[in-house]
Amino acid sequence: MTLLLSLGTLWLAGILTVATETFTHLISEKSWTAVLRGFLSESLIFSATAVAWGTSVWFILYFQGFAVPFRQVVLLMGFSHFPLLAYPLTIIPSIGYRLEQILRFTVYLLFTASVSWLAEVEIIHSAFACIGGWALHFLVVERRILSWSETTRL
Amino acid sequence: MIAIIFALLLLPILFAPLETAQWASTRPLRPEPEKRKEFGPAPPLQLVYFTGVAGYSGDFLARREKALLDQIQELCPGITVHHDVFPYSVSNLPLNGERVFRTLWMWLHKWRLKIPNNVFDVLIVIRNIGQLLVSADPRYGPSYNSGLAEVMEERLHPDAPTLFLAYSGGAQMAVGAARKLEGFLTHKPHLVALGGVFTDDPGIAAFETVVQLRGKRDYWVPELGRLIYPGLWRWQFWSTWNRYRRSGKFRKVTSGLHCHVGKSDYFGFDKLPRNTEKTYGEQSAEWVAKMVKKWSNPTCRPEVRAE
Repeated sequence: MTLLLSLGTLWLAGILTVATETFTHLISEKSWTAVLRGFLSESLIFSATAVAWGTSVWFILYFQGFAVPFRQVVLLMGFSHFPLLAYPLTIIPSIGYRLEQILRFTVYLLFTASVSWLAEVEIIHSAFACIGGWALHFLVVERRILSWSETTRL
Repeated sequence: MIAIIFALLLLPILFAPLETAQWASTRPLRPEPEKRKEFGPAPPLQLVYFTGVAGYSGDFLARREKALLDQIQELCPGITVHHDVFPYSVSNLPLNGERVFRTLWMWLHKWRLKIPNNVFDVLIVIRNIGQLLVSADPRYGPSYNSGLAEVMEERLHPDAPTLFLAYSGGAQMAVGAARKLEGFLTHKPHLVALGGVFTDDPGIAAFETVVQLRGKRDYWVPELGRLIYPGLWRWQFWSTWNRYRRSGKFRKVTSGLHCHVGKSDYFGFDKLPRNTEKTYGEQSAEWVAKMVKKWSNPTCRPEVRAE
Protein backbone atom coordinates (compact mmCIF):
# COMPACT_ATOMS: atom_id res chain seq x y z
CA MET A 1 0.00 0.00 0.00
CA THR A 2 2.83 2.43 0.92
CA LEU A 3 4.66 1.52 -2.27
CA LEU A 4 1.50 2.15 -4.24
CA LEU A 5 1.12 5.54 -2.57
CA SER A 6 4.73 6.38 -3.33
CA LEU A 7 4.46 5.37 -6.98
CA GLY A 8 1.14 7.24 -7.16
CA THR A 9 2.92 10.39 -5.94
CA LEU A 10 5.63 9.88 -8.53
CA TRP A 11 3.06 9.35 -11.29
CA LEU A 12 1.01 12.40 -10.34
CA ALA A 13 4.10 14.55 -9.95
CA GLY A 14 5.28 13.40 -13.36
CA ILE A 15 1.95 14.13 -15.03
CA LEU A 16 1.73 17.59 -13.46
CA THR A 17 5.34 18.40 -14.33
CA VAL A 18 5.09 17.28 -17.92
CA ALA A 19 1.65 18.84 -18.45
CA THR A 20 2.84 22.20 -17.09
CA GLU A 21 5.97 22.12 -19.18
CA THR A 22 3.88 21.23 -22.22
CA PHE A 23 1.84 24.36 -21.62
CA THR A 24 4.94 26.53 -21.41
CA HIS A 25 6.29 24.84 -24.56
CA LEU A 26 3.02 25.49 -26.36
CA ILE A 27 3.92 29.15 -26.64
CA SER A 28 7.16 28.47 -28.45
CA GLU A 29 6.21 25.27 -30.29
CA LYS A 30 3.04 26.63 -31.94
CA SER A 31 2.06 23.25 -33.38
CA TRP A 32 -0.44 21.08 -31.49
CA THR A 33 0.92 17.82 -32.90
CA ALA A 34 4.44 18.78 -31.84
CA VAL A 35 3.10 19.62 -28.38
CA LEU A 36 1.26 16.29 -28.06
CA ARG A 37 4.31 14.40 -29.28
CA GLY A 38 6.35 16.34 -26.75
CA PHE A 39 3.93 15.48 -23.92
CA LEU A 40 4.05 11.74 -24.65
CA SER A 41 7.81 11.58 -25.05
CA GLU A 42 8.43 13.75 -21.99
CA SER A 43 6.15 11.49 -19.88
CA LEU A 44 8.11 8.48 -21.00
CA ILE A 45 11.43 10.18 -20.35
CA PHE A 46 10.30 11.33 -16.90
CA SER A 47 9.27 7.80 -15.83
CA ALA A 48 12.37 6.19 -17.33
CA THR A 49 14.80 8.66 -15.75
CA ALA A 50 13.04 8.41 -12.38
CA VAL A 51 13.51 4.62 -12.42
CA ALA A 52 17.11 5.11 -13.56
CA TRP A 53 17.72 7.54 -10.68
CA GLY A 54 16.43 5.13 -8.01
CA THR A 55 18.31 2.19 -9.55
CA SER A 56 21.58 4.10 -9.86
CA VAL A 57 21.47 5.17 -6.21
CA TRP A 58 20.72 1.60 -5.12
CA PHE A 59 23.60 0.29 -7.29
CA ILE A 60 26.07 2.84 -5.93
CA LEU A 61 25.17 2.00 -2.34
CA TYR A 62 25.21 -1.75 -3.06
CA PHE A 63 28.72 -1.63 -4.53
CA GLN A 64 29.92 0.44 -1.61
CA GLY A 65 28.71 -2.24 0.75
CA PHE A 66 25.53 -0.63 2.01
CA ALA A 67 22.91 -3.29 1.42
CA VAL A 68 19.64 -1.36 1.38
CA PRO A 69 16.44 -2.95 0.02
CA PHE A 70 15.66 -1.78 -3.53
CA ARG A 71 12.00 -1.51 -2.58
CA GLN A 72 12.85 1.04 0.13
CA VAL A 73 14.90 3.14 -2.28
CA VAL A 74 12.04 3.22 -4.80
CA LEU A 75 9.62 4.09 -2.01
CA LEU A 76 11.71 7.07 -0.87
CA MET A 77 12.38 8.16 -4.44
CA GLY A 78 8.64 8.28 -5.12
CA PHE A 79 7.85 10.28 -1.99
CA SER A 80 10.73 12.68 -2.70
CA HIS A 81 8.79 13.84 -5.75
CA PHE A 82 6.08 15.25 -3.49
CA PRO A 83 7.18 18.92 -3.98
CA LEU A 84 6.57 18.56 -7.71
CA LEU A 85 2.82 18.46 -6.98
CA ALA A 86 3.13 22.25 -6.81
CA TYR A 87 4.54 22.33 -10.33
CA PRO A 88 1.45 23.95 -11.96
CA LEU A 89 2.39 27.11 -10.03
CA THR A 90 5.41 27.43 -12.30
CA ILE A 91 3.06 28.74 -14.99
CA ILE A 92 3.29 32.10 -13.19
CA PRO A 93 5.57 34.18 -15.39
CA SER A 94 9.10 34.92 -14.16
CA ILE A 95 8.44 33.83 -10.56
CA GLY A 96 7.43 30.37 -11.82
CA TYR A 97 10.66 30.05 -13.74
CA ARG A 98 12.65 30.36 -10.51
CA LEU A 99 10.16 28.15 -8.67
CA GLU A 100 10.89 25.35 -11.16
CA GLN A 101 14.53 25.30 -10.10
CA ILE A 102 13.62 25.43 -6.40
CA LEU A 103 11.16 22.52 -6.68
CA ARG A 104 13.63 20.32 -8.53
CA PHE A 105 16.35 21.07 -6.04
CA THR A 106 13.98 20.29 -3.17
CA VAL A 107 13.35 16.84 -4.70
CA TYR A 108 17.10 16.27 -4.70
CA LEU A 109 17.50 17.43 -1.10
CA LEU A 110 14.61 15.24 0.09
CA PHE A 111 15.95 12.13 -1.63
CA THR A 112 19.48 12.83 -0.41
CA ALA A 113 18.30 13.22 3.17
CA SER A 114 16.15 10.10 3.05
CA VAL A 115 18.92 7.96 1.48
CA SER A 116 21.29 9.21 4.16
CA TRP A 117 18.79 8.09 6.80
CA LEU A 118 18.06 4.75 5.13
CA ALA A 119 21.65 3.69 4.49
CA GLU A 120 22.95 5.40 7.64
CA VAL A 121 25.62 7.28 5.73
CA GLU A 122 26.88 10.88 5.89
CA ILE A 123 24.71 13.41 4.07
CA ILE A 124 27.66 14.32 1.80
CA HIS A 125 28.02 10.66 0.90
CA SER A 126 24.37 10.33 -0.11
CA ALA A 127 24.50 13.72 -1.87
CA PHE A 128 27.23 12.36 -4.16
CA ALA A 129 25.35 9.09 -4.64
CA CYS A 130 22.21 10.95 -5.72
CA ILE A 131 23.59 13.74 -7.86
CA GLY A 132 24.22 11.84 -11.10
CA GLY A 133 20.75 10.33 -11.34
CA TRP A 134 19.15 13.63 -10.38
CA ALA A 135 21.06 15.48 -13.05
CA LEU A 136 19.94 12.94 -15.62
CA HIS A 137 16.35 13.01 -14.37
CA PHE A 138 15.99 16.77 -14.55
CA LEU A 139 18.51 17.84 -17.15
CA VAL A 140 16.68 15.71 -19.70
CA VAL A 141 13.48 17.58 -18.84
CA GLU A 142 15.44 20.80 -18.75
CA ARG A 143 16.97 20.29 -22.18
CA ARG A 144 14.93 23.16 -23.59
CA ILE A 145 17.34 25.44 -21.73
CA LEU A 146 20.08 23.89 -23.80
CA SER A 147 18.08 24.65 -26.95
CA TRP A 148 17.50 28.20 -25.72
CA SER A 149 18.82 29.65 -28.99
CA GLU A 150 15.93 27.99 -30.82
CA THR A 151 13.28 29.76 -28.80
CA THR A 152 15.04 33.08 -29.10
CA ARG A 153 14.97 32.76 -32.87
CA LEU A 154 11.16 32.97 -32.86
CA MET B 1 -10.77 36.52 3.73
CA ILE B 2 -7.51 38.41 3.14
CA ALA B 3 -6.01 35.25 1.63
CA ILE B 4 -8.94 34.96 -0.80
CA ILE B 5 -8.60 38.61 -1.87
CA PHE B 6 -4.87 38.13 -2.30
CA ALA B 7 -5.40 34.99 -4.39
CA LEU B 8 -7.99 36.77 -6.55
CA LEU B 9 -5.59 39.65 -7.13
CA LEU B 10 -2.93 37.18 -8.25
CA LEU B 11 -5.19 35.54 -10.82
CA PRO B 12 -4.39 38.07 -13.58
CA ILE B 13 -0.70 37.27 -13.09
CA LEU B 14 -1.31 33.50 -13.15
CA PHE B 15 -3.26 33.77 -16.40
CA ALA B 16 -1.01 36.43 -17.94
CA PRO B 17 0.76 34.00 -20.32
CA LEU B 18 -2.58 33.01 -21.90
CA GLU B 19 -2.72 36.16 -24.03
CA THR B 20 0.69 35.36 -25.47
CA ALA B 21 -0.28 31.70 -25.92
CA GLN B 22 -3.41 32.72 -27.81
CA TRP B 23 -1.44 35.15 -29.98
CA ALA B 24 1.25 32.55 -30.70
CA SER B 25 -1.33 29.92 -31.63
CA THR B 26 -2.72 32.17 -34.39
CA ARG B 27 0.70 32.69 -35.96
CA PRO B 28 1.61 30.71 -39.08
CA LEU B 29 4.20 27.98 -38.50
CA ARG B 30 6.43 29.29 -41.27
CA PRO B 31 5.66 32.96 -41.85
CA GLU B 32 6.20 34.11 -45.43
CA PRO B 33 8.97 36.68 -45.79
CA GLU B 34 7.40 40.12 -46.03
CA LYS B 35 8.26 42.48 -48.85
CA ARG B 36 10.39 45.35 -47.59
CA LYS B 37 8.28 48.44 -47.11
CA GLU B 38 9.16 51.68 -48.81
CA PHE B 39 10.34 54.27 -46.30
CA GLY B 40 10.47 58.04 -46.73
CA PRO B 41 13.38 60.20 -45.58
CA ALA B 42 14.65 59.28 -42.14
CA PRO B 43 13.86 61.70 -39.31
CA PRO B 44 16.80 63.02 -37.24
CA LEU B 45 15.61 60.74 -34.45
CA GLN B 46 12.58 58.61 -33.69
CA LEU B 47 11.41 58.40 -30.10
CA VAL B 48 9.20 55.58 -28.89
CA TYR B 49 7.46 56.08 -25.57
CA PHE B 50 6.73 53.11 -23.31
CA THR B 51 4.24 53.96 -20.61
CA GLY B 52 4.34 52.57 -17.06
CA VAL B 53 2.36 49.64 -15.64
CA ALA B 54 -0.71 51.81 -15.15
CA GLY B 55 -1.07 52.08 -18.96
CA TYR B 56 -4.47 51.53 -20.54
CA SER B 57 -3.96 51.71 -24.31
CA GLY B 58 -1.65 53.07 -26.96
CA ASP B 59 -4.12 55.75 -27.97
CA PHE B 60 -4.90 56.98 -24.51
CA LEU B 61 -2.09 58.73 -22.75
CA ALA B 62 -2.40 60.58 -19.45
CA ARG B 63 -2.40 64.38 -19.83
CA ARG B 64 0.90 64.71 -17.98
CA GLU B 65 2.61 62.08 -20.12
CA LYS B 66 1.36 63.81 -23.25
CA ALA B 67 2.65 67.13 -21.87
CA LEU B 68 6.13 65.66 -21.36
CA LEU B 69 6.27 64.31 -24.91
CA ASP B 70 5.03 67.65 -26.30
CA GLN B 71 7.74 69.48 -24.38
CA ILE B 72 10.41 67.14 -25.74
CA GLN B 73 9.13 67.64 -29.26
CA GLU B 74 9.12 71.40 -28.73
CA LEU B 75 12.72 71.34 -27.52
CA CYS B 76 13.82 69.05 -30.36
CA PRO B 77 11.83 69.97 -33.48
CA GLY B 78 11.86 67.49 -36.35
CA ILE B 79 11.99 64.28 -34.32
CA THR B 80 9.23 61.71 -34.68
CA VAL B 81 7.46 60.65 -31.49
CA HIS B 82 5.55 57.36 -31.32
CA HIS B 83 3.38 56.93 -28.28
CA ASP B 84 0.74 54.66 -29.74
CA VAL B 85 2.43 51.40 -28.72
CA PHE B 86 0.69 49.72 -25.80
CA PRO B 87 3.59 47.67 -24.41
CA TYR B 88 1.45 45.52 -22.12
CA SER B 89 -0.17 43.63 -24.97
CA VAL B 90 1.61 41.27 -27.32
CA SER B 91 -0.49 42.53 -30.25
CA ASN B 92 -0.94 46.19 -29.21
CA LEU B 93 -4.53 45.38 -28.21
CA PRO B 94 -5.68 48.05 -25.75
CA LEU B 95 -7.53 47.14 -22.57
CA ASN B 96 -10.73 48.41 -24.16
CA GLY B 97 -10.12 46.25 -27.24
CA GLU B 98 -11.84 42.92 -27.94
CA ARG B 99 -11.10 41.21 -24.66
CA VAL B 100 -13.04 38.98 -22.28
CA PHE B 101 -12.79 41.54 -19.47
CA ARG B 102 -13.23 44.59 -21.70
CA THR B 103 -16.19 45.90 -19.69
CA LEU B 104 -14.25 45.64 -16.43
CA TRP B 105 -11.23 47.53 -17.80
CA MET B 106 -13.46 50.23 -19.29
CA TRP B 107 -15.31 50.62 -16.00
CA LEU B 108 -12.03 50.90 -14.12
CA HIS B 109 -10.75 53.43 -16.62
CA LYS B 110 -13.88 55.58 -16.22
CA TRP B 111 -13.30 55.58 -12.46
CA ARG B 112 -9.70 56.54 -13.00
CA LEU B 113 -10.70 59.54 -15.07
CA LYS B 114 -13.12 60.62 -12.33
CA ILE B 115 -10.80 59.90 -9.38
CA PRO B 116 -7.13 59.60 -10.38
CA ASN B 117 -5.02 57.05 -8.48
CA ASN B 118 -8.06 55.39 -6.87
CA VAL B 119 -7.78 51.98 -5.23
CA PHE B 120 -9.24 50.09 -8.23
CA ASP B 121 -6.28 51.23 -10.34
CA VAL B 122 -4.44 48.39 -8.65
CA LEU B 123 -6.29 45.89 -10.86
CA ILE B 124 -4.97 47.48 -14.05
CA VAL B 125 -1.51 47.72 -12.53
CA ILE B 126 -1.54 44.03 -11.50
CA ARG B 127 -2.74 42.98 -14.94
CA ASN B 128 0.07 44.93 -16.60
CA ILE B 129 2.66 43.63 -14.14
CA GLY B 130 1.59 40.15 -15.27
CA GLN B 131 2.48 41.06 -18.86
CA LEU B 132 5.79 42.56 -17.70
CA LEU B 133 6.65 39.28 -16.00
CA VAL B 134 5.73 37.42 -19.20
CA SER B 135 8.06 39.63 -21.22
CA ALA B 136 10.94 38.99 -18.80
CA ASP B 137 10.36 35.22 -18.57
CA PRO B 138 12.85 33.14 -20.59
CA ARG B 139 10.01 30.72 -21.52
CA TYR B 140 7.34 33.14 -22.67
CA GLY B 141 9.43 36.25 -23.31
CA PRO B 142 10.76 35.37 -26.79
CA SER B 143 7.20 35.07 -28.15
CA TYR B 144 5.87 38.12 -26.33
CA ASN B 145 8.76 40.33 -27.36
CA SER B 146 8.48 39.20 -30.99
CA GLY B 147 4.89 40.46 -31.01
CA LEU B 148 5.88 43.77 -29.48
CA ALA B 149 8.75 44.18 -31.93
CA GLU B 150 6.40 43.51 -34.86
CA VAL B 151 4.12 46.29 -33.67
CA MET B 152 7.10 48.64 -33.52
CA GLU B 153 8.46 47.62 -36.91
CA GLU B 154 5.22 48.89 -38.44
CA ARG B 155 5.97 52.35 -37.05
CA LEU B 156 9.74 52.75 -37.10
CA HIS B 157 12.13 53.84 -39.83
CA PRO B 158 14.97 51.33 -40.02
CA ASP B 159 17.68 53.88 -40.80
CA ALA B 160 16.86 56.60 -38.27
CA PRO B 161 18.51 56.77 -34.83
CA THR B 162 16.07 55.41 -32.27
CA LEU B 163 15.50 56.39 -28.67
CA PHE B 164 13.21 54.44 -26.37
CA LEU B 165 11.84 56.55 -23.57
CA ALA B 166 10.39 54.30 -20.89
CA TYR B 167 8.72 55.06 -17.63
CA SER B 168 8.85 52.58 -14.75
CA GLY B 169 7.90 49.06 -15.93
CA GLY B 170 8.01 50.25 -19.53
CA ALA B 171 11.80 49.89 -19.29
CA GLN B 172 11.56 46.08 -19.28
CA MET B 173 9.18 46.13 -22.26
CA ALA B 174 11.67 48.31 -24.18
CA VAL B 175 14.52 45.94 -23.29
CA GLY B 176 12.46 42.92 -24.36
CA ALA B 177 11.54 44.41 -27.74
CA ALA B 178 15.04 45.78 -28.45
CA ARG B 179 16.61 42.37 -28.99
CA LYS B 180 13.91 41.44 -31.49
CA LEU B 181 14.51 44.67 -33.42
CA GLU B 182 18.21 43.96 -33.91
CA GLY B 183 17.78 42.77 -37.47
CA PHE B 184 15.43 45.60 -38.40
CA LEU B 185 17.18 48.72 -37.13
CA THR B 186 20.39 49.83 -38.80
CA HIS B 187 21.66 51.61 -35.67
CA LYS B 188 21.51 50.21 -32.16
CA PRO B 189 18.80 52.05 -30.19
CA HIS B 190 19.30 54.10 -27.02
CA LEU B 191 17.19 53.81 -23.91
CA VAL B 192 16.31 56.52 -21.43
CA ALA B 193 14.43 55.13 -18.46
CA LEU B 194 12.53 57.41 -16.11
CA GLY B 195 12.69 55.52 -12.83
CA GLY B 196 12.90 52.36 -14.93
CA VAL B 197 12.26 48.94 -13.44
CA PHE B 198 14.69 46.50 -15.03
CA THR B 199 14.86 42.72 -15.01
CA ASP B 200 17.76 40.47 -15.99
CA ASP B 201 16.52 40.23 -19.59
CA PRO B 202 19.58 39.77 -21.85
CA GLY B 203 17.98 42.22 -24.32
CA ILE B 204 19.80 45.01 -22.48
CA ALA B 205 22.84 44.23 -24.63
CA ALA B 206 20.93 45.35 -27.74
CA PHE B 207 21.21 49.00 -26.66
CA GLU B 208 23.98 51.37 -27.62
CA THR B 209 23.42 53.32 -24.40
CA VAL B 210 21.09 53.00 -21.43
CA VAL B 211 20.51 55.99 -19.17
CA GLN B 212 18.55 55.53 -15.97
CA LEU B 213 17.15 58.93 -14.94
CA ARG B 214 16.23 58.61 -11.32
CA GLY B 215 14.89 61.18 -8.91
CA LYS B 216 16.36 61.61 -5.44
CA ARG B 217 12.96 60.77 -3.93
CA ASP B 218 12.30 57.75 -6.17
CA TYR B 219 13.44 55.41 -3.43
CA TRP B 220 12.37 51.82 -4.00
CA VAL B 221 10.34 51.20 -7.18
CA PRO B 222 13.36 51.07 -9.55
CA GLU B 223 14.92 48.50 -7.20
CA LEU B 224 11.98 46.07 -7.40
CA GLY B 225 13.57 43.99 -10.16
CA ARG B 226 16.27 42.84 -7.75
CA LEU B 227 13.68 40.94 -5.72
CA ILE B 228 13.05 38.20 -8.28
CA TYR B 229 15.75 38.54 -10.94
CA PRO B 230 19.05 37.10 -9.67
CA GLY B 231 20.81 38.31 -12.83
CA LEU B 232 20.67 41.82 -11.35
CA TRP B 233 22.54 40.80 -8.20
CA ARG B 234 26.09 42.11 -8.22
CA TRP B 235 27.73 38.79 -7.33
CA GLN B 236 26.36 37.24 -10.54
CA PHE B 237 29.18 38.96 -12.40
CA TRP B 238 28.69 36.77 -15.49
CA SER B 239 25.07 37.84 -16.14
CA THR B 240 24.38 39.87 -19.28
CA TRP B 241 23.10 42.70 -17.12
CA ASN B 242 26.30 42.92 -15.03
CA ARG B 243 28.52 42.62 -18.09
CA TYR B 244 26.59 45.44 -19.73
CA ARG B 245 26.89 47.60 -16.64
CA ARG B 246 30.65 47.04 -16.57
CA SER B 247 30.94 47.93 -20.26
CA GLY B 248 30.25 51.57 -19.40
CA LYS B 249 27.20 51.82 -21.65
CA PHE B 250 24.88 52.01 -18.66
CA ARG B 251 24.66 55.32 -16.84
CA LYS B 252 22.71 56.39 -13.79
CA VAL B 253 21.79 60.05 -13.75
CA THR B 254 20.08 61.85 -10.87
CA SER B 255 17.34 63.84 -12.54
CA GLY B 256 16.42 66.02 -9.57
CA LEU B 257 14.00 65.71 -6.70
CA HIS B 258 11.49 63.55 -8.56
CA CYS B 259 9.49 60.84 -6.81
CA HIS B 260 8.02 57.82 -8.65
CA VAL B 261 4.30 58.57 -8.56
CA GLY B 262 2.69 61.80 -7.45
CA LYS B 263 2.58 65.48 -8.15
CA SER B 264 6.35 65.74 -8.18
CA ASP B 265 7.06 62.68 -10.33
CA TYR B 266 8.83 62.70 -13.70
CA PHE B 267 5.77 64.25 -15.38
CA GLY B 268 4.65 66.44 -12.47
CA PHE B 269 3.03 69.82 -13.02
CA ASP B 270 4.20 71.05 -9.59
CA LYS B 271 6.86 73.73 -9.55
CA LEU B 272 10.36 72.80 -8.46
CA PRO B 273 11.38 74.01 -5.01
CA ARG B 274 13.44 77.22 -5.12
CA ASN B 275 12.55 77.59 -8.79
CA THR B 276 9.07 78.92 -9.35
CA GLU B 277 9.34 78.85 -13.14
CA LYS B 278 10.10 75.23 -13.93
CA THR B 279 7.97 72.16 -13.21
CA TYR B 280 9.18 68.63 -12.44
CA GLY B 281 7.93 67.50 -15.85
CA GLU B 282 9.81 70.28 -17.62
CA GLN B 283 12.99 69.27 -15.84
CA SER B 284 12.59 65.68 -17.08
CA ALA B 285 11.86 66.95 -20.60
CA GLU B 286 15.09 68.98 -20.57
CA TRP B 287 17.11 65.94 -19.54
CA VAL B 288 15.61 63.85 -22.32
CA ALA B 289 15.97 66.67 -24.88
CA LYS B 290 19.68 66.91 -24.02
CA MET B 291 20.10 63.26 -24.92
CA VAL B 292 17.93 63.52 -28.02
CA LYS B 293 20.18 66.30 -29.31
CA LYS B 294 23.26 64.24 -28.56
CA TRP B 295 22.05 61.14 -30.35
CA SER B 296 20.03 62.55 -33.25
CA ASN B 297 21.44 62.52 -36.74
CA PRO B 298 22.67 66.11 -37.37
CA THR B 299 22.30 65.91 -41.14
CA CYS B 300 18.58 65.26 -40.77
CA ARG B 301 17.84 68.18 -38.44
CA PRO B 302 15.44 70.69 -40.00
CA GLU B 303 17.78 73.67 -39.50
CA VAL B 304 20.66 71.83 -41.20
CA ARG B 305 18.37 70.76 -44.06
CA ALA B 306 17.28 74.38 -44.59
CA GLU B 307 20.90 75.48 -44.96
